[in-house]
This record gives sequence, C-alpha cells and structure tokens, in this order.
Amino acid sequence: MENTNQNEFILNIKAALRKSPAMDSAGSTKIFTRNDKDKDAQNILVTPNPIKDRKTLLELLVYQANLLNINIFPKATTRMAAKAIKKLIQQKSPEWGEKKSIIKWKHPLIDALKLEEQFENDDVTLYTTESECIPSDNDREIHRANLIESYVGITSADFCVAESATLILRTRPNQPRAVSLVPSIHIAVINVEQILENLKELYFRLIHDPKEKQLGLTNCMTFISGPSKTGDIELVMVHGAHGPRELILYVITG
Amino acid sequence: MTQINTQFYKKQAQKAICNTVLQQALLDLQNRLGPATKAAYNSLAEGPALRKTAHDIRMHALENLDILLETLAQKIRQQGGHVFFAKDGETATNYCLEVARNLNVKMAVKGKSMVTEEIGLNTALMRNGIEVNETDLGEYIIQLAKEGPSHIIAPAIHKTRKQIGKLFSEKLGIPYTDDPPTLTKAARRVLREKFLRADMGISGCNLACAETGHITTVSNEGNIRMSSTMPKVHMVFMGMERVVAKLQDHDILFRLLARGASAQNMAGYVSYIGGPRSADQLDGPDEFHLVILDNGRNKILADKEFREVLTCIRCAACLNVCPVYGKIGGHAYGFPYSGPIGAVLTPLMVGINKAHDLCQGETLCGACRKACPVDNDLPRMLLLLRAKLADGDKDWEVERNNPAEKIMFMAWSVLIRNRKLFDMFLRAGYWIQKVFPRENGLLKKLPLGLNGWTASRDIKPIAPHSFILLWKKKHR
Amino acid sequence: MMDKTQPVTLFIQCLIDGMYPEIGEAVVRLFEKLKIPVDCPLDQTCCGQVAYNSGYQKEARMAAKRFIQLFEKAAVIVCPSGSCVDMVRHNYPALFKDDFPWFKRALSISSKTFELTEYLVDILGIEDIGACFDKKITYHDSCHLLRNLDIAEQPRKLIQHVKGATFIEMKNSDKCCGFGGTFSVKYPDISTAILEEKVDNIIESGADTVVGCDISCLMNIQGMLSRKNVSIKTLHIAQLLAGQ
Repeated sequence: MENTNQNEFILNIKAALRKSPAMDSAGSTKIFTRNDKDKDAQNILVTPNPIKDRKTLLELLVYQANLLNINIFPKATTRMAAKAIKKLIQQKSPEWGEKKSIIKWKHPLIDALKLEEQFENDDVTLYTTESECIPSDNDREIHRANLIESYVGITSADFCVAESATLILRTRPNQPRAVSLVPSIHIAVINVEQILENLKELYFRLIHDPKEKQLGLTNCMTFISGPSKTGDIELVMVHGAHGPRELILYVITG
Repeated sequence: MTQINTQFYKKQAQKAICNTVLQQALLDLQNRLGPATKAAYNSLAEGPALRKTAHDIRMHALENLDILLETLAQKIRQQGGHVFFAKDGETATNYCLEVARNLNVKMAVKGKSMVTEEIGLNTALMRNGIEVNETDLGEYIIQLAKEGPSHIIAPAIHKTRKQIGKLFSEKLGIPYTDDPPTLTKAARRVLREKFLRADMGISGCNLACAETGHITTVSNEGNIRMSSTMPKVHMVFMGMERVVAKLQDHDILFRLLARGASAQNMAGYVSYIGGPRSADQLDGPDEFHLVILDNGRNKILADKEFREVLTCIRCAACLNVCPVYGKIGGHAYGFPYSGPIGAVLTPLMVGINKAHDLCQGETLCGACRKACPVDNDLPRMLLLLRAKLADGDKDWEVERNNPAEKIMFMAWSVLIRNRKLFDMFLRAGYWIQKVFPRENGLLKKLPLGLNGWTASRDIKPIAPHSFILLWKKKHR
Repeated sequence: MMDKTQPVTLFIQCLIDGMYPEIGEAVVRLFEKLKIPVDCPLDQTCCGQVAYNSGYQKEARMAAKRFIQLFEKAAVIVCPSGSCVDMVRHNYPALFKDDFPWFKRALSISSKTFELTEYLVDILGIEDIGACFDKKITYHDSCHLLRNLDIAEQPRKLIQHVKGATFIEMKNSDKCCGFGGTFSVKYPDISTAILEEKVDNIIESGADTVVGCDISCLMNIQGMLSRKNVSIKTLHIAQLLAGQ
C-alpha cells in the first residue's frame, strides 16, 4: 500500500514539473551539491577558538542570553559550578509536590561536577540517565518515572551559539532528549570552547567538520534558545509554557 | 472544512469590524510586529536581500520536489520511520486512523498544524472515539471555546484576558483570574497531564531536510517537543512542499522564519527529528509516521504562475502588515489560511469562484510582498486570480464571475479609445450627477453600485470642464 | 543626467482630467515656474489601471496600446500619479510579455515615464521649487508609489523645502488608506475601516494639511474628512509646490 501510493504521488509531481516519468530521480544528485565558497573552510574549523575570541564570544552570549531570560553564570571551574547548583537547589522548590529530585545526563562534564558529593547530606534524590547498551522496556519505564518526578534536569550541549543564545543538543545513548524538556528547571553546563559565534558557523561545522559529519544530526537534534514561553494571551510574554520554566546556563571558563 | 461564499466573507468582515476587542488586538499585533519584522530583516548580516536567496532556495526545492521527497522518504525509512504519501485529506486521515487503531490510541496531543486543520483531522479522530487535545496555548484556548483560529501564529489573538479568564474558570474549574501568567500556568498544569498520558503525539512539519532525512518543528512553548517526545507514537503531517534539499538551506530559512513570524533572532525551540528513538535510547517515541500531503498542492505546482505560492513557510509576516486582515481578522477567510497568503492559497485549493471574495477583497497595497521572508509576490498572484475570475479559465475550472461587469469594461474599453466619446461620457456624467444630493460642492450620495463610497465618504463631482478641454481652450 | 530644460509630455491621469483639473493646472504652473515647456497629447484618456486591477487584461491591453501609440514619440513623460506610472512602468511590459513587438514598445515607454516628484528630484535635481505654505503638513505614502516605485524621499525633500511649512510625520504614513480602486465600492465596509485608521492617524499628527502624490488616495481621505466635518485639508503635491 505504502509503495503504490508513493509511486503515483511522485509520478504526479514529475508530471507537474514536466519531467518524464522515466527520469531517474535517485541519480539526480545535483540538487544536493553544495555551492561552497570553501576557501576559508579549514580556518573556520580550527578548534578551539583562540582565547581572545573566546572572551568576546562569552560576552556576546551573556548579552543575548539576558535578553532571552536565560540565567547565565560563567564559572571558572566545575567545582564552582557544582557549588552554585547546590545553592540553587536549596533555593528553588519543586513546582509540584515536595520531593526534590534531579535527573542528569551521563556526560563527562556533568560527571566532573561530582554532584553526588555535593548533595551527600541533602534530602535530594539524584538520577543519572545511564543505561545498558540496549535499554529494556523496564529501563525506559523507570527513566520515565524518574523524569516525571524530577524538577531539575541537568544536561550539557554540543554547542552554544552566542548570537542567538542557542544551545544545540543532540541525542545519544545516556543523553536522552527529555531531560532538557520535562523537568521545570533545565540546567545546562558547557565549556567556554563550545561557544560558536553564529548559526552560520554552526551549520558550517555540522556540514563540513568530519567529526560532526560522522555523528550527523542524530535522530533528534534540538535548538534551545531560552525557557519555554508564549505570547498567546494578548501578546503578553509569559515564561513557562509547556517546556521548562527556567533555563540556567553554567559556562566553565577555566 | 468550512463553507466559503461571498455572504460569509462580507458578513464575517462586518462582524469583525464591529468587534472592538478584535480591532484593538489586531491593531496592537500589527503595530508591534509589522515594523519589528522590518527592523529584524535589516539586522541580518546579509541584509534584507537574503530574502531573495531564500526565495531561490525554495523555488529550487519545488523544481526538484520529486527527488527531494523520495530522498526524504528513503532516509526516514532507513532510520526506522514510516512514510505515507496521501493524495488528499481523506486518505491522510484514514491512514492516521488506521495507525491509531492498530496501536489502540485513545488520546492524542497535538502541536499547532495548519495542515491538520486543512484536512479536518481533529473532527475525524474525535468521530472515531479518540480524544484530541490541542496543546499550543492559543489553539487550546480556541478548542475550549469551540472557535476557529484568527491568526496563523497567535490563534487566540481575538480573545481578551478577561474572556480567557472566564473561559478557564468555566471549563477548568479554576477561580477566575485575568492574569496571563496565572492562566498560562493553569493550562500548563492541565496539559502536562495530557502530554504524559497521551498515546499519540501529532505535529506538523515546518521544513524538512531531504539530505539528512529529518523533519523540523518550531515552537516557543515546548508543546511540540512534548508531543513528539513523550507519547509512544509520533505522527507528523507535512504539506508536500515543505522540504528543502540541504542542511545549509536551513540556516538561511530558519533565521528568516523567526524574523518573519515574531521579529526574533531564533524561535525558542527548533527540533530536527529523523525517526523514532533508536534501540539504545532511553526515551522518545517507539514509532514515527510521516504523512506527506498533496490535497491540491500538485495542481498549484504544475502551474508555473502559481508555483511560487508554495515557497511560503507559514510565518504570518504578511498577516502582520495586511491592512485588510488588520480589519477583518482570520475568521472572515473561512479557511485555516488567512491574510494575504490565504487570499491566494485558499482560492487555489477550494475553488477560485468559491473563494473569489478572498482575492478580490484586497487593496493590492503590496505590503505583504515587502514583508515576506521568502519574497513571495502575492500581489502578482492576486491579480492573476482576478484575471481568471474576469474572463474564466478552463484549467482551473473558473467561470466568469461577473458577466455584467465584463460588459461594463468592454464598454469602457470603447470609451477610452475615443477621446470624443470619453468627453461625451464626462459631459453626460456631469449632467446626471446634478440630481445626486450635494452639500458644499460635494456629492453626498451616489447611485447603487457606487453607493458603498458615499456610505462613509463624500466625493467631488465631475468637473464642469475637463483638464484637456481647459488646455484646448487655453492653447487655441 | 537629462537635459534639464527639455520639454515634458504631460500624462494627466483620468481622475485629474475629469474631476480635479485644478491639479493638472497646478502641474502646468509648476513647469512654467521652472521654465520647462510642457505639451499634452489631447487624445489621452486612461492608462487602463482600473481594468487591469479588476482582472480585465484584454481591455487593459487595449488601453495600453492606445497609450503607447499616443505617447511613444515623447522624449519624456511626466505624470502626477504614482499608481499610473506604476501601471506603465511595470504592468505594461507584463501585459505584452507574449507579444514581442508590443513588449519592446512597452519597455521603451516605461523607461521614460516618470512620476512628478521623481522627475523633479531625481532627474532635474531640484528640491526647492521656491514654494511657500504657512501650515503644518503631514504626508501620506501612497502604496504603489512607495512600494512599487520606491518613491518616499523625493516628496519629503520637496515638502521640507517649502518656506513656512512645518512637516510632521504621521503614524504609519506608509499604511494603505483603503482605496484600492474598485475595492472601495465593492468592499466598502472594509475600505471604510482601513480609512478610519488612516484618518485617525492624520488627525493625531496635529497637521492641518495632508499632502500626497496620488489623487486617488487624497480623494478617499478627503471624502471621509469632509463627511466627518474635520477641517484638515488634502492637497496634491503639485498644488503645494505650484501655489494655489
């Protein structure tokens, strides 16, 4: 059923475009060739950004983030960031219920925060999204329950675009997509070297950097440019629609 | 699908004009977003000229639509998703119902999708016993109120906070409040429960990427992310034209989309989704279905004069500057697509005669063309639709809309090709108008056919001597 | 740069011809002041815009052919109406895109047809006509003039050089006035609603005169101003510059 529908559909389009039905579509890859002005490609792909640039990028990011209601805190070390997170958790109450639960990615930068130590003596439950190679249905159910219970979700990101204060998150095993979505508060922790200047640079990297090309977009890549918001009632901007109400970003500057 | 006819348009327009709440809302919307969008285009690194590039990207995609859709389908299937090509709304809806039946879907959550409104998906699902919850706050509000959207991006713009407060207290049982944050919070609470309990999440697709095999969704609220993440099946409805070839095209188009829609640099959330969760992922839907819809688009694609209208990325920038939309609101258009884009698309989709008011009831001021992020020449297409209504058209099955008017213009064409006749006509008009009521040298009432003018305006009468006559006299 | 004293051929516009001849006379006075000879084809009638906008392309083509025949020998054609110049400049070539000989003639005529303020400022390089007008003036940007011909600065420069005049920008001067040709009589409720907003903005500006380059818009605006007994007057830019 699926295929006959498709064949007829595509034939109709070909007819509309005055293309002969016999014309081989799959072979026509011209539409996918890039018109690259690639002379400076290698320069752009040099990582990390020179230190002088990093400072400027961070300043730009801070400026844009503030405009978008993102709480951004540069911190010299992961330890300082971890302390700040602890303080934050003490100050913030859950949106629903009383229990303070946090769900966090299994990720080198998040691991470096050593949050288990920070919350050792606190009445805070920590969940880490670590799973077997192939999680079972039961694993998924547990994860879902932990997710719903948690009022804070902690993730890192692939990149952060300064010009629009956008975090780029791809989905990997142990780095599930809902951690940045379901809890009321989303905390993101990144390194200052991960900051890119603009979307153009981001797309350029995704397209040309061999490392990024190999990973690809993954089956779910999300751009996050602030907490959830809506202006649907009289165009009055309200932060906190269906996604997280708050987005807190820690940038480890080193 | 709703009824469209002349009386409906003019009646709805009149109703909207008398609705002071709506008028103020539309004025605020246009005053805020119109100029802001213009400034946002100017803030682009490449300047407003980027819109022409975007136009070319979209046209190029349309000219290769067969290749792009086949590539997209192939990639998504490789990534574990299902792709279904639907020639019309009924086919699309039936597919969705079949999937829902197979998976025992009882309740669905939905992100805003014009395509699903176009095919009446909600009604079909509900008729088959499936509870459908709109989750975009504006859509949720109008769903509760049992109304249609009045704007593509802000569907409940015609409602005041007081009206919404009353609605929520009635339907949700919360104490009355007109505070937007409190109201939003109430909706958040109710809908969160729906997101977590839903069996199916339904969304549209903003702009798919054929090269990588992803659909994209754009929102500020997070409702589309929730709908496409938490339920076990994600169903996507996509107009067949909503695809570009390469990832690098997205850079330009998303920047323009955000500026066109709400004068932002970037929308709050953009998601690239390429299929269901993979075996090694802890969350995400088990099943992913993409329904690619024709429903009249192929016919538009085939007509080179109208093909351009399919470049639209549904940002509503044209609504935000249209003087007509600014007075009549979205309901008068009688179809999910309103404003200038609706004025061209709707006639092409539902019938040009049927929707003739939409393309004739515009001033051709050109503001839409200037505001469109992909440089769509809507005024050109409106004129073309008018030409088809004037003389009929076999291809589009258009009958002459006003035979009497045709005769009038035929007579006019004789008149203007002969100065003597033209002078006689002016002379005749000068004498006939003496019976029309006048005051202070201005006519107060014109006869039937022209009396629409004098309902609210005076008019200067035809002069005793035309300029040409005066010139002749002077230069004798 | 064109020869500044070369004669201009006047394309008067049917509305001015039949209803506002005084504006035509102001245009003539203006060119007299500038010592530029003016000639006027006496057989001209209408550029065909009204038929074109209503979708009657065959009839519009007839008007276009006649216009081209009457005017194509002119060195330069000037018209005190943005929408008419738009018709000739952009829509005449479009009307003949399937008829190459006429297309060529349409292209030729479109390249030498100018709107009044465009001709004065861009071609003749004149911004100060030496006009006087001791009033508060606001300016309405007509749609086709602004968006299709890109003429916005030229009228403003001319107005700002008028001695004694105070120039005030109204809110949303570039928003449509609601005329739209036959739209104004076919969809009068919508036309009126759009016009009400324009009139509100004019009143709010505090000006006592509203100037424009298109009589169709001015006629629409004046119609409501007088119906509402508002004392603000409309003035075509030719009348402002030539003195009344």
